[in-house]
Amino acid sequence: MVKVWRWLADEPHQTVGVRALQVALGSMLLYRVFTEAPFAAYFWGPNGLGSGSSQVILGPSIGGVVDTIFSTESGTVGLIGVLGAGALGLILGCWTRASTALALIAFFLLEQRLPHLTDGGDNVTRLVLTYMLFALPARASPAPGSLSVWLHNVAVLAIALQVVVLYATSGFMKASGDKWHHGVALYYISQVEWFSLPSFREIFKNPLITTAATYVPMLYLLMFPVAIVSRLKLPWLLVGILFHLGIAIFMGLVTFSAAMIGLALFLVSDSEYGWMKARVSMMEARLHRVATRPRWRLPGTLSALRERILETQRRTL
Amino acid sequence: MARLSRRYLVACIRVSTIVWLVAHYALTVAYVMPVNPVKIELQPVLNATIGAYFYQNWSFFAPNPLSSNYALLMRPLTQLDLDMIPKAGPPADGWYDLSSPVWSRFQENRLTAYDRVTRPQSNAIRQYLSGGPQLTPWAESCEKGDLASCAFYENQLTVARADAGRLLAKVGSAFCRDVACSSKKVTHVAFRARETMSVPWSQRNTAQPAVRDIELGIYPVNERAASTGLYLAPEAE
Repeated sequence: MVKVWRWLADEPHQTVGVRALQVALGSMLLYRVFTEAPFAAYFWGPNGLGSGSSQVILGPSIGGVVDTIFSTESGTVGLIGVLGAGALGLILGCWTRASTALALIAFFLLEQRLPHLTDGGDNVTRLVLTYMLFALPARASPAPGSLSVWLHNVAVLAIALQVVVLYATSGFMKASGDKWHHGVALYYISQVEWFSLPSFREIFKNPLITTAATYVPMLYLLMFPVAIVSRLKLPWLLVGILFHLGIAIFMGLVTFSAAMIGLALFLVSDSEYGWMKARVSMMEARLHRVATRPRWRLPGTLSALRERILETQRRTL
Repeated sequence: MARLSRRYLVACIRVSTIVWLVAHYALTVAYVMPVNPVKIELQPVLNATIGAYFYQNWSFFAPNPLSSNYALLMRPLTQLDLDMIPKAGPPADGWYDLSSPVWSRFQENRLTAYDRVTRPQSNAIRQYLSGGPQLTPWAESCEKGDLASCAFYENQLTVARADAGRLLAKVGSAFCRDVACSSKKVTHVAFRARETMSVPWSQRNTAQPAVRDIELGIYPVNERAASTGLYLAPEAE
């Protein structure tokens, strides 16, 4: 108990991870701004698809006022601009708390306006942005043991627990489905146009590939909570990053994958980043030594051969 | 004295954040789990806390993944077409496929919003047909013979269909604006879902996917609907 208290109170944790998460979520949000802004009026505008209201959460008075943003096209575009500004702030590490707040407000309002547009990546982004409001600003150096350090560490713990809940629930749900249970889920997903590439369709008719591609992610998800507190943590997170790159390419869930890769990078601790940095520096130094070492001269080089021929000719003469 | 009260306040904040964290994740775990006795018992609390402010759903492609393609087909209707429907049924030709061209563009380039453009359509179709994922437990319970679940499911399905219909009407109106329906005196749009069912695993090398059309209703065109700017000159079937 004392150990946990000191972990929360003394020093800020995951500072590099929080920064990586800010960059990942900022990039994902900026990507959404650039790709979806041309459809802003169609999705969220006064005559667009969305008709949802934030009054359910914010109440009739505040929600009613906030909803008027969508009564004009310029208000809608302005809100996308706010989301873009927040995303840019997160990427650049400028006023990260204010940027997080801007991104969260804009993102929340757009989600409420058209809930049919969102996916799991948007869901986790909204939750994580909420917790990130309490994270320390980028490049901050608070006094050890201060309240801001405590709140930062509680936010770190909240984000980590959210990731664990996400993976464990997803694995648990899959384990109860008969298509996952019988190792053919990936075959069926590969047949759906929305989530597949036609070039991969034949590959998933192979029993070995389909069974492995179904069971491996399910086991990965189920074992995630245990793996990240074990020695397998770093390889597990690396596999997770590769897994989500595959989801982005094969299934086209680009924004979901970006958010999940950001969360995998977040889970790497500061000491692990330090260890990886030291390993990279060591490898760089080794490569530098190899590159600058005097080159081996073979005994039978051309000049030596020429010298030997000339010597033979001289003797013959 | 002031320093002491400040220290007391900070300690209170620290303890309350820990209490919040533990309570929040206990409720979150209960909220995301499948239906179980604890979840049923805590339902009002879960809906008022996590469901309202920290809504989340992590059943990605679970318990079973989507295994059919639902393409949205739309037929612009003039008043004359509309008058003919009670006698002759929906027209056999002139249907536009709003989903397939966007899917194939998205498969060509993943770094686009094509996926998001079709997402409301696909979700509206699923909501119209089954009421959406939130009604699945009620539907399953109804299939097992629970009459109360059946009544609740039927009631909620009507609500879900009305909501999905409103969304489809907007999708159709936007398409109409893109292809200039107003010049053809279009007043309504009819929708169909074309379901292409996946071939079962055991027949993957021999069978062809089965296809069926499901009528999704007729809706009036809203001439003020925002355009997608995406559908320029599609060809009707």
